[in-house]
Amino acid sequence: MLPELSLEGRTAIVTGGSRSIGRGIALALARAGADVVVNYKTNRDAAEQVVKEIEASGRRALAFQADVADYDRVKEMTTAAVDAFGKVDILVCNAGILHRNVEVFEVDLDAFHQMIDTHIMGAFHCIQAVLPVMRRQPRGDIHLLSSTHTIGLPRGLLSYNVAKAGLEALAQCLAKEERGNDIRVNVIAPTTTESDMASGLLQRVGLSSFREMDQYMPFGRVVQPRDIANLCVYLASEEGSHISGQVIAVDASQGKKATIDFLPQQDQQRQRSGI
Amino acid sequence: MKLEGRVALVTGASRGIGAGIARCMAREGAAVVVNYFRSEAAAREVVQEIEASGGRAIAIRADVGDFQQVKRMVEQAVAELGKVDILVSNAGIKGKGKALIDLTYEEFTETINNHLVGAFNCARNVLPYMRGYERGDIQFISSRSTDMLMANDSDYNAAKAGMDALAKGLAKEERYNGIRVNAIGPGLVPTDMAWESVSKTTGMDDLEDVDKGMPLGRMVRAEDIGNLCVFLASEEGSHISGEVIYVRGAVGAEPPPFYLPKSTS
Repeated sequence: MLPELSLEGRTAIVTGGSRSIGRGIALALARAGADVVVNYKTNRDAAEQVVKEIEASGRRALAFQADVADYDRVKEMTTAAVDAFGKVDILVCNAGILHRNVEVFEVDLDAFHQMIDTHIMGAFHCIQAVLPVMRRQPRGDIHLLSSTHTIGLPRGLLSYNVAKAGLEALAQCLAKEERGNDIRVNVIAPTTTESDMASGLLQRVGLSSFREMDQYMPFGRVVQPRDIANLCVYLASEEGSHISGQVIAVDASQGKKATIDFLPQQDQQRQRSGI
Repeated sequence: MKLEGRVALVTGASRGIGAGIARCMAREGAAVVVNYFRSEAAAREVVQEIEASGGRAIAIRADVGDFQQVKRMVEQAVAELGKVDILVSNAGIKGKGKALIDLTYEEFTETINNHLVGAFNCARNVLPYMRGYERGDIQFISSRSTDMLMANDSDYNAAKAGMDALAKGLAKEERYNGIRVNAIGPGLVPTDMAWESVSKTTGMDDLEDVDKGMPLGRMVRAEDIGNLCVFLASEEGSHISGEVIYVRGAVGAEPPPFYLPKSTS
């Protein structure tokens, strides 16, 4: 019998690791044996809490404040990671934001730039900062968190869609560039996952909890952070070592349909909200 | 063990990728039906190997292209092992390697029948049972060819792209029945089927030499495919469905000579 998937001896940076999906990823990587740098932008308490949980399970962890859009700060984070744990060989670019009701004709340019800066430039900064360290390791793994919105490209999420689609293109080029350096690059594309970011959906559909949505979802429940985190662990493990350059959706077969489409009688709300 | 209590039917499991998948499923505690058509001795060997390491397996002969044979195989599997709640539709044959204008009707339909119709035959016969279980998993072993769609491969391309389409549609049909459906597209795996052409293209007759020149240090192995099959069928992979996942190292949609190493001699 083989042991469970193991990331023993690995060191990960998880951006946006203080809450929701990022938190789930940080905890799962640590459970599999990795030391983790928990990056956060604003929510220090939440990040410290994740660090505590990881340390309680016997791994090392470090909370580090950095806006991924700030390259200098990202470089400092990489240095701090190497100082603390000696290396970085797993990078999970998860930090993200969401703007709704964005269309070309009426776009707020600053907000649009913020979206590009956080998702595409944020990932780019992390990758550039980490690659020199990662290339010296026997193996490297880069996971970029995208979204199934790049399949459906729904109206109203213009800046988010553009940013995430760009991120996927970045990943596929990078996978080819770094394959001679034993670095895997993959995109994980969750559908609506139980998270702070998705909590706005509850308000829009007039529900008070994700549990009320479970019964309408394929396989009986809303996708959870652990579903995303499990795939992160698998791809970085020996078992998943020959998967690179892929975009893998974790969406319980939803495809181009949005999660909201699975809920009953949402058409009126959808029309009213313009999405 | 991730698949304890499950029963996996793996078609074309006597050799190559299918045998690798069968071993991985058994390693994780699933009972395995090792389907074969011609290679009975090889199928028995896989069964014996699984039994020797404490697992449970039976070999059943069936031509996946023949609906009635598949029906009987599934009935026998359910009778002997109690159920089939994982189906890996892997059995396949090489494409004819010809331009469409040179393909006969018989050649084209033979490839389509073995891959696409074979996948339908298996899914169609397993589904009525699978719907009765808490969870089911169907995995179609497709090919990297569906992302390349190269010339002189139309029979194979059409068959495998059809399997990807089958997976995506079926995933939607069965998502409220607890059944996950995915397609897996292996890269070039040095099985009996592929090694000959790899060896010819590279001018190398030692796999180790080819491995050294590959991105990520080696060619894809059957175990890489089997490990993903296990992950997708496990609790950890339970919310991945309707996906086509390529397991091809870090190779993109590039044709083989582009990334295969060259012999220095």
